[in-house]
Amino acid sequence: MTDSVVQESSGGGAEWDDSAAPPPLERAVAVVLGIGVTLSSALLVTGVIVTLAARSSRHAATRAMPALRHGALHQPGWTSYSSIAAVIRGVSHGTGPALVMLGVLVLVATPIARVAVSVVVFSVSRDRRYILVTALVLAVLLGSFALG
Amino acid sequence: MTPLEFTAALVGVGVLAGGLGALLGLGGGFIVVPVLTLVFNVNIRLAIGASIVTIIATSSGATVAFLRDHLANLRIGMFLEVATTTGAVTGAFLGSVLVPRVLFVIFAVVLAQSAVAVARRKHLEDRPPPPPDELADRLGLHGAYPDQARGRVVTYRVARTKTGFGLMYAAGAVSGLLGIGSGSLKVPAMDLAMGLPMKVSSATSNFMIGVTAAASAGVYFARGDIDPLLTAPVALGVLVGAFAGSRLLPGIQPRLLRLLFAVAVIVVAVNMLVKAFL
Repeated sequence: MTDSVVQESSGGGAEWDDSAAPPPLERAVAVVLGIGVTLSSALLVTGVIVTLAARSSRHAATRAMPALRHGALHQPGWTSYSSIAAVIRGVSHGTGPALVMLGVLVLVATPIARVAVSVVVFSVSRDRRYILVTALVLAVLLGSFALG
Repeated sequence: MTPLEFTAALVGVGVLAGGLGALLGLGGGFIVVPVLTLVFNVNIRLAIGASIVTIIATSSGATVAFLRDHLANLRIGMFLEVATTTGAVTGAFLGSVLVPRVLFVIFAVVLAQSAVAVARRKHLEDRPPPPPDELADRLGLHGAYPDQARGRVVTYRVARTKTGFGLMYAAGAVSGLLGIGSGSLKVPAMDLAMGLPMKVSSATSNFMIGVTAAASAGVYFARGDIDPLLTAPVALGVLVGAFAGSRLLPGIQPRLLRLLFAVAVIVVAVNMLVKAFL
């Protein structure tokens, strides 16, 4: 949000000059979020296709879906992909649901990566207040993962 | 319903949640949880797991567009994230002790009130000038954005940063405690206390909720609450919907945006009441 890109016009209002390069922070955040969203949606799509294509897992899905619909799944822990190691093991076997979970993990990691990159951008511009602000957020995030 | 039809229905739910979530700064969890549990009979924990992923997908997907439109104020977002993340951790800690039902009722009332206040709020131009705020000056929070609906650039000054920060801490604590209503408290805090334009409040809330949700996602993942076959179609739908919703925000009339927001937050408040009495 820099004022430099706003140019007052003679009519009293102002026009936005889109030809000006976006500030480094906005650019960096947009790049990180764009990569995260693209990568994760590619993984999600691949995972769904692999799941639906694999004969055996189609049967598994057929069994699971009515169960979901009728509320029979009262034990949320039924998915075997609840640790990063399990997801990586599944992905190495090319399992569809594991690919989906990798996509989910990339999606979850994206905002955290965005905060980490912001720390770097503010460090480069030596904006001490915002280095502190973003580093604090990153610390709380990482701390919540360590505690959770 | 065949698995394929069920998957298609989940994508549809995702598109709706992502679209409204992106437009209103709410993240879309308020649609995913009730629809999955009430319409599709999905287990509540799996539905909440899917909604956490929904919120992150909406946030990341929509923010890319909001940065291009200069609607999200990153400095405000990053500063307030200090309050929301620490609040969320506090709330999660308190929540493991106990969650009295009366809290749900209290916050349902608070939400309904702030929804009405947001809906009745005057245009930026029709309000008295905001009081000067030294903290906002020092943090460089003031901004401007090109408003397509009005065909000109709107400049705004941020007021009452400390109050906003305190409210954001409360918003974070409530979402950590009750697992609901994160964006629905963030937008009123920015709109009513800090005096941001409605579109900037919505876009900046969108930007922030991804981080708040990511802070709790690890817990749900480790518990096995994130089901791949349920989450993938919803998340993909959300990404498409968030893109569409983010296209609508620059051109929408602020008055209409306020009304839509109020209606959606009333839905969140009703969700809370249902949770209190179930």
